[in-house]
Amino acid sequence: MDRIIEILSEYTEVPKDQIKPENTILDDLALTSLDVMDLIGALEDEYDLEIPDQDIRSISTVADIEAYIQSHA
Amino acid sequence: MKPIFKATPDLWLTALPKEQDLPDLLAGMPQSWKEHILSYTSSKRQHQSAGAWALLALMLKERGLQPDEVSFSDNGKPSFVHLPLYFSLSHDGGYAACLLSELPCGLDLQHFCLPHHPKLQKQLGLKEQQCLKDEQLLSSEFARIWTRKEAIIKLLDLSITSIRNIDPKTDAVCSVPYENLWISWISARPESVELKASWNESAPWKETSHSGNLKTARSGGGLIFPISKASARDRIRNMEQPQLSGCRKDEGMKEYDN
Repeated sequence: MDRIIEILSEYTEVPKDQIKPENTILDDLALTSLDVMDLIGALEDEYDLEIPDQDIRSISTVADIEAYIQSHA
Repeated sequence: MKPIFKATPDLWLTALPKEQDLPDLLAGMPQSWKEHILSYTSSKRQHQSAGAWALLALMLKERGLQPDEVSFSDNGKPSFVHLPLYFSLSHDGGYAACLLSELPCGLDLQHFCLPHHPKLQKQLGLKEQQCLKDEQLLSSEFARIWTRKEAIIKLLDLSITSIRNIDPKTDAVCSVPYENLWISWISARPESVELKASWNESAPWKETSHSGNLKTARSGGGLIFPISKASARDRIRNMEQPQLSGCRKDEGMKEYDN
Protein backbone atom coordinates (compact mmCIF):
# COMPACT_ATOMS: atom_id res chain seq x y z
CA MET A 1 0.00 0.00 0.00
CA ASP A 2 2.88 2.38 0.76
CA ARG A 3 4.15 2.33 -2.81
CA ILE A 4 0.65 2.86 -4.20
CA ILE A 5 0.15 5.85 -1.94
CA GLU A 6 3.53 7.16 -2.96
CA ILE A 7 2.56 6.98 -6.64
CA LEU A 8 -0.83 8.55 -5.96
CA SER A 9 0.82 11.37 -4.06
CA GLU A 10 2.96 12.13 -7.10
CA TYR A 11 -0.12 12.42 -9.28
CA THR A 12 -2.35 14.32 -6.90
CA GLU A 13 0.10 16.48 -4.97
CA VAL A 14 -1.81 15.33 -1.89
CA PRO A 15 0.66 14.54 0.92
CA LYS A 16 1.16 10.81 1.45
CA ASP A 17 -0.10 10.90 5.03
CA GLN A 18 -3.41 12.35 3.88
CA ILE A 19 -4.18 9.61 1.36
CA LYS A 20 -6.42 6.97 2.93
CA PRO A 21 -7.56 3.58 1.58
CA GLU A 22 -11.18 4.72 1.50
CA ASN A 23 -10.40 7.80 -0.62
CA THR A 24 -11.96 7.77 -4.08
CA ILE A 25 -9.45 8.70 -6.76
CA LEU A 26 -11.82 10.98 -8.69
CA ASP A 27 -13.88 12.69 -6.01
CA ASP A 28 -11.57 12.73 -2.99
CA LEU A 29 -8.19 12.97 -4.66
CA ALA A 30 -9.55 15.04 -7.57
CA LEU A 31 -7.69 13.13 -10.27
CA THR A 32 -8.65 14.20 -13.78
CA SER A 33 -9.40 11.70 -16.51
CA LEU A 34 -5.92 12.33 -17.88
CA ASP A 35 -4.42 11.67 -14.44
CA VAL A 36 -6.32 8.39 -14.19
CA MET A 37 -5.06 7.10 -17.51
CA ASP A 38 -1.57 8.30 -16.70
CA LEU A 39 -1.73 6.58 -13.31
CA ILE A 40 -2.87 3.32 -14.90
CA GLY A 41 0.23 3.36 -17.11
CA ALA A 42 2.43 3.91 -14.09
CA LEU A 43 0.79 1.09 -12.14
CA GLU A 44 1.05 -1.27 -15.10
CA ASP A 45 4.77 -0.66 -15.35
CA GLU A 46 5.40 -0.64 -11.62
CA TYR A 47 3.68 -3.99 -11.10
CA ASP A 48 4.35 -5.49 -14.54
CA LEU A 49 0.74 -6.09 -15.44
CA GLU A 50 -1.77 -4.97 -18.03
CA ILE A 51 -4.99 -3.50 -16.71
CA PRO A 52 -7.79 -4.03 -19.27
CA ASP A 53 -10.14 -1.10 -19.88
CA GLN A 54 -13.09 -2.91 -18.32
CA ASP A 55 -11.11 -3.46 -15.11
CA ILE A 56 -10.16 0.21 -14.85
CA ARG A 57 -13.84 1.05 -14.48
CA SER A 58 -14.09 -1.09 -11.37
CA ILE A 59 -11.28 0.76 -9.62
CA SER A 60 -12.76 3.56 -7.58
CA THR A 61 -10.83 3.86 -4.33
CA VAL A 62 -7.25 3.59 -3.17
CA ALA A 63 -8.17 0.27 -1.54
CA ASP A 64 -9.54 -0.93 -4.90
CA ILE A 65 -6.15 -0.29 -6.48
CA GLU A 66 -4.41 -2.29 -3.79
CA ALA A 67 -6.88 -5.16 -4.06
CA TYR A 68 -6.55 -5.25 -7.83
CA ILE A 69 -2.77 -5.33 -7.72
CA GLN A 70 -2.70 -7.98 -5.01
CA SER A 71 -4.92 -10.24 -7.10
CA HIS A 72 -3.30 -9.64 -10.48
CA ALA A 73 0.39 -8.79 -10.00
CA MET B 1 -17.94 35.95 -14.51
CA LYS B 2 -17.67 36.88 -18.19
CA PRO B 3 -16.91 34.76 -21.23
CA ILE B 4 -13.51 35.27 -22.81
CA PHE B 5 -14.69 34.22 -26.23
CA LYS B 6 -17.65 32.78 -28.05
CA ALA B 7 -17.73 30.50 -31.06
CA THR B 8 -20.18 28.68 -33.31
CA PRO B 9 -21.87 26.50 -32.14
CA ASP B 10 -22.08 28.24 -28.81
CA LEU B 11 -18.74 27.66 -27.15
CA TRP B 12 -17.79 29.86 -24.25
CA LEU B 13 -14.60 29.88 -22.26
CA THR B 14 -14.17 31.67 -18.97
CA ALA B 15 -11.61 32.15 -16.26
CA LEU B 16 -12.92 30.52 -13.10
CA PRO B 17 -14.14 32.86 -10.38
CA LYS B 18 -12.57 32.82 -6.94
CA GLU B 19 -13.08 29.73 -4.83
CA GLN B 20 -14.90 31.65 -2.13
CA ASP B 21 -17.59 32.53 -4.69
CA LEU B 22 -18.91 28.96 -4.69
CA PRO B 23 -22.09 29.78 -2.71
CA ASP B 24 -22.89 32.59 -5.14
CA LEU B 25 -22.33 30.33 -8.11
CA LEU B 26 -24.65 27.69 -6.66
CA ALA B 27 -27.42 30.15 -5.87
CA GLY B 28 -30.25 29.80 -8.34
CA MET B 29 -28.98 26.59 -9.87
CA PRO B 30 -31.43 23.69 -10.26
CA GLN B 31 -31.25 21.06 -7.55
CA SER B 32 -29.71 18.43 -9.84
CA TRP B 33 -26.87 20.81 -10.73
CA LYS B 34 -26.15 21.57 -7.08
CA GLU B 35 -26.26 17.92 -6.08
CA HIS B 36 -23.82 17.04 -8.81
CA ILE B 37 -21.38 19.81 -7.91
CA LEU B 38 -21.54 19.08 -4.19
CA SER B 39 -21.11 15.35 -4.76
CA TYR B 40 -17.42 16.07 -5.25
CA THR B 41 -15.63 15.83 -1.94
CA SER B 42 -12.70 17.88 -3.21
CA SER B 43 -13.38 21.61 -2.78
CA LYS B 44 -11.16 22.31 -5.77
CA ARG B 45 -13.28 20.02 -7.92
CA GLN B 46 -16.50 21.59 -6.59
CA HIS B 47 -15.23 25.03 -7.50
CA GLN B 48 -14.15 24.04 -11.03
CA SER B 49 -17.38 22.21 -11.66
CA ALA B 50 -19.51 25.10 -10.36
CA GLY B 51 -17.69 27.49 -12.68
CA ALA B 52 -18.52 25.37 -15.70
CA TRP B 53 -22.17 24.97 -14.71
CA ALA B 54 -22.45 28.68 -14.01
CA LEU B 55 -21.19 29.32 -17.52
CA LEU B 56 -23.91 27.04 -18.86
CA ALA B 57 -26.49 29.05 -16.91
CA LEU B 58 -25.16 32.24 -18.52
CA MET B 59 -25.38 30.74 -21.98
CA LEU B 60 -28.96 29.63 -21.40
CA LYS B 61 -29.82 33.05 -20.07
CA GLU B 62 -28.51 34.65 -23.25
CA ARG B 63 -30.93 32.46 -25.18
CA GLY B 64 -33.73 33.52 -22.87
CA LEU B 65 -33.87 30.08 -21.25
CA GLN B 66 -34.06 29.03 -17.63
CA PRO B 67 -31.60 26.39 -16.35
CA ASP B 68 -33.20 22.98 -16.73
CA GLU B 69 -32.79 19.97 -14.48
CA VAL B 70 -30.33 17.38 -15.77
CA SER B 71 -29.83 13.66 -15.61
CA PHE B 72 -26.57 11.75 -15.93
CA SER B 73 -25.68 8.67 -17.95
CA ASP B 74 -23.72 5.78 -16.47
CA ASN B 75 -20.54 7.39 -17.78
CA GLY B 76 -21.48 10.71 -16.19
CA LYS B 77 -22.63 12.52 -19.31
CA PRO B 78 -25.22 15.14 -18.38
CA SER B 79 -28.36 15.83 -20.42
CA PHE B 80 -31.20 18.28 -20.01
CA VAL B 81 -34.42 16.70 -18.84
CA HIS B 82 -36.72 19.04 -20.80
CA LEU B 83 -34.74 21.42 -23.02
CA PRO B 84 -34.15 20.18 -26.60
CA LEU B 85 -30.50 21.17 -26.42
CA TYR B 86 -27.23 19.39 -25.78
CA PHE B 87 -24.26 20.63 -23.81
CA SER B 88 -20.80 19.61 -22.73
CA LEU B 89 -18.66 21.07 -19.96
CA SER B 90 -14.96 21.00 -19.30
CA HIS B 91 -12.52 22.62 -16.92
CA ASP B 92 -8.84 22.54 -16.29
CA GLY B 93 -6.69 24.69 -14.09
CA GLY B 94 -8.22 28.16 -13.89
CA TYR B 95 -10.54 27.83 -16.87
CA ALA B 96 -13.95 26.39 -17.60
CA ALA B 97 -15.70 25.99 -20.93
CA CYS B 98 -19.19 25.12 -22.06
CA LEU B 99 -20.53 24.00 -25.42
CA LEU B 100 -24.26 24.38 -26.10
CA SER B 101 -25.63 22.87 -29.27
CA GLU B 102 -28.71 21.67 -31.08
CA LEU B 103 -26.77 18.46 -31.77
CA PRO B 104 -25.10 16.02 -29.39
CA CYS B 105 -21.70 17.37 -28.53
CA GLY B 106 -18.45 16.85 -26.68
CA LEU B 107 -15.94 19.38 -25.42
CA ASP B 108 -12.61 19.19 -23.68
CA LEU B 109 -9.95 21.63 -22.66
CA GLN B 110 -6.52 20.85 -21.36
CA HIS B 111 -3.46 22.83 -20.42
CA PHE B 112 -0.29 22.00 -22.30
CA CYS B 113 1.17 19.13 -20.35
CA LEU B 114 2.99 15.87 -20.55
CA PRO B 115 1.86 12.89 -18.54
CA HIS B 116 4.05 11.84 -15.65
CA HIS B 117 4.47 8.47 -17.21
CA PRO B 118 5.73 8.12 -20.81
CA LYS B 119 3.45 5.14 -21.41
CA LEU B 120 0.47 7.41 -22.00
CA GLN B 121 2.39 9.43 -24.58
CA LYS B 122 3.05 6.20 -26.39
CA GLN B 123 -0.54 5.05 -26.13
CA LEU B 124 -1.78 8.33 -27.53
CA GLY B 125 0.52 8.19 -30.51
CA LEU B 126 3.24 10.62 -29.54
CA LYS B 127 5.82 7.91 -30.09
CA GLU B 128 5.35 8.42 -33.83
CA GLN B 129 6.22 12.07 -33.54
CA GLN B 130 9.96 11.76 -33.49
CA CYS B 131 10.31 15.24 -34.92
CA LEU B 132 8.83 16.79 -31.78
CA LYS B 133 11.91 17.11 -29.65
CA ASP B 134 10.99 20.39 -28.08
CA GLU B 135 9.17 19.82 -24.78
CA GLN B 136 6.86 22.81 -25.21
CA LEU B 137 5.80 21.61 -28.64
CA LEU B 138 5.41 18.06 -27.39
CA SER B 139 3.29 19.13 -24.43
CA SER B 140 1.10 21.25 -26.72
CA GLU B 141 0.66 18.34 -29.11
CA PHE B 142 -0.14 15.97 -26.27
CA ALA B 143 -2.85 18.32 -24.99
CA ARG B 144 -4.24 18.73 -28.49
CA ILE B 145 -4.45 14.98 -29.07
CA TRP B 146 -5.91 14.38 -25.62
CA THR B 147 -8.65 17.01 -26.02
CA ARG B 148 -9.61 15.74 -29.47
CA LYS B 149 -9.96 12.21 -28.12
CA GLU B 150 -11.85 13.27 -25.03
CA ALA B 151 -14.25 15.44 -27.03
CA ILE B 152 -15.18 12.32 -29.03
CA ILE B 153 -15.46 10.25 -25.84
CA LYS B 154 -17.89 12.81 -24.45
CA LEU B 155 -19.93 13.02 -27.63
CA LEU B 156 -20.30 9.26 -27.83
CA ASP B 157 -20.85 8.92 -24.06
CA LEU B 158 -18.04 6.41 -23.71
CA SER B 159 -15.97 5.61 -20.66
CA ILE B 160 -12.65 7.43 -20.40
CA THR B 161 -10.99 4.04 -20.61
CA SER B 162 -11.86 4.01 -24.32
CA ILE B 163 -9.50 6.88 -24.93
CA ARG B 164 -6.60 4.66 -25.92
CA ASN B 165 -8.63 3.37 -28.86
CA ILE B 166 -10.13 6.63 -30.10
CA ASP B 167 -8.56 8.14 -33.19
CA PRO B 168 -8.07 11.88 -32.73
CA LYS B 169 -7.83 12.64 -36.44
CA THR B 170 -11.50 12.47 -37.30
CA ASP B 171 -12.34 15.52 -39.34
CA ALA B 172 -15.42 16.45 -37.36
CA VAL B 173 -13.44 17.60 -34.31
CA CYS B 174 -12.41 21.24 -34.13
CA SER B 175 -9.40 22.29 -32.06
CA VAL B 176 -8.07 25.68 -31.16
CA PRO B 177 -5.31 26.83 -28.81
CA TYR B 178 -5.85 29.60 -26.30
CA GLU B 179 -2.74 30.72 -24.47
CA ASN B 180 -1.42 27.46 -22.97
CA LEU B 181 -4.68 25.52 -23.46
CA TRP B 182 -6.04 23.37 -26.22
CA ILE B 183 -9.80 23.38 -26.62
CA SER B 184 -11.39 20.71 -28.80
CA TRP B 185 -15.04 20.15 -29.52
CA ILE B 186 -17.37 18.19 -31.72
CA SER B 187 -21.06 18.67 -32.34
CA ALA B 188 -22.61 15.99 -34.49
CA ARG B 189 -24.98 13.09 -34.56
CA PRO B 190 -22.98 10.24 -33.04
CA GLU B 191 -23.83 7.92 -35.91
CA SER B 192 -22.31 10.39 -38.37
CA VAL B 193 -18.92 10.62 -36.70
CA GLU B 194 -16.20 9.22 -38.87
CA LEU B 195 -13.52 7.43 -36.91
CA LYS B 196 -12.06 5.38 -39.70
CA ALA B 197 -8.61 6.96 -40.10
CA SER B 198 -5.80 5.18 -38.38
CA TRP B 199 -3.20 7.07 -36.44
CA ASN B 200 -0.32 6.18 -38.70
CA GLU B 201 -1.87 7.37 -41.93
CA SER B 202 -0.39 10.84 -41.67
CA ALA B 203 1.40 13.04 -39.22
CA PRO B 204 -1.27 14.69 -37.05
CA TRP B 205 0.67 17.86 -36.46
CA LYS B 206 0.30 18.64 -40.16
CA GLU B 207 -3.43 18.94 -39.64
CA THR B 208 -3.95 22.64 -39.11
CA SER B 209 -7.23 23.43 -40.80
CA HIS B 210 -9.08 24.06 -37.54
CA SER B 211 -6.27 25.68 -35.67
CA GLY B 212 -5.97 29.34 -34.90
CA ASN B 213 -4.16 31.27 -32.27
CA LEU B 214 -6.52 33.25 -30.12
CA LYS B 215 -3.71 35.33 -28.76
CA THR B 216 -3.49 37.06 -32.12
CA ALA B 217 -7.20 37.70 -32.30
CA ARG B 218 -7.69 40.30 -29.62
CA SER B 219 -9.98 43.12 -30.62
CA GLY B 220 -11.84 45.77 -28.66
CA GLY B 221 -10.72 44.37 -25.34
CA GLY B 222 -12.27 41.00 -26.06
CA LEU B 223 -11.30 37.96 -28.05
CA ILE B 224 -12.67 37.01 -31.39
CA PHE B 225 -12.76 33.41 -32.37
CA PRO B 226 -10.29 32.95 -35.22
CA ILE B 227 -12.37 30.63 -37.36
CA SER B 228 -14.64 32.62 -39.64
CA LYS B 229 -18.33 32.13 -38.95
CA ALA B 230 -18.93 31.02 -42.53
CA SER B 231 -16.19 28.44 -42.24
CA ALA B 232 -17.52 27.20 -38.92
CA ARG B 233 -21.06 27.04 -40.27
CA ASP B 234 -19.88 25.03 -43.24
CA ARG B 235 -18.09 22.64 -40.98
CA ILE B 236 -21.11 22.20 -38.76
CA ARG B 237 -23.35 21.70 -41.79
CA ASN B 238 -20.98 19.05 -43.07
CA MET B 239 -20.99 17.36 -39.70
CA GLU B 240 -24.73 17.01 -39.87
CA GLN B 241 -24.51 14.87 -43.00
CA PRO B 242 -24.26 11.18 -42.23
CA GLN B 243 -20.80 10.10 -43.25
CA LEU B 244 -20.58 6.52 -42.11
CA SER B 245 -23.03 3.96 -40.94
CA GLY B 246 -21.28 3.61 -37.61
CA CYS B 247 -18.06 3.70 -35.71
CA ARG B 248 -15.05 1.55 -36.17
CA LYS B 249 -15.52 -1.65 -34.25
CA ASP B 250 -12.43 -1.46 -32.17
CA GLU B 251 -12.04 -3.13 -28.82
CA GLY B 252 -12.53 0.20 -27.14
CA MET B 253 -15.77 0.93 -28.95
CA LYS B 254 -17.74 -1.93 -27.49
CA GLU B 255 -19.75 0.34 -25.27
CA TYR B 256 -20.92 2.30 -28.28
CA ASP B 257 -21.70 -0.81 -30.24
CA ASN B 258 -23.82 -2.04 -27.39
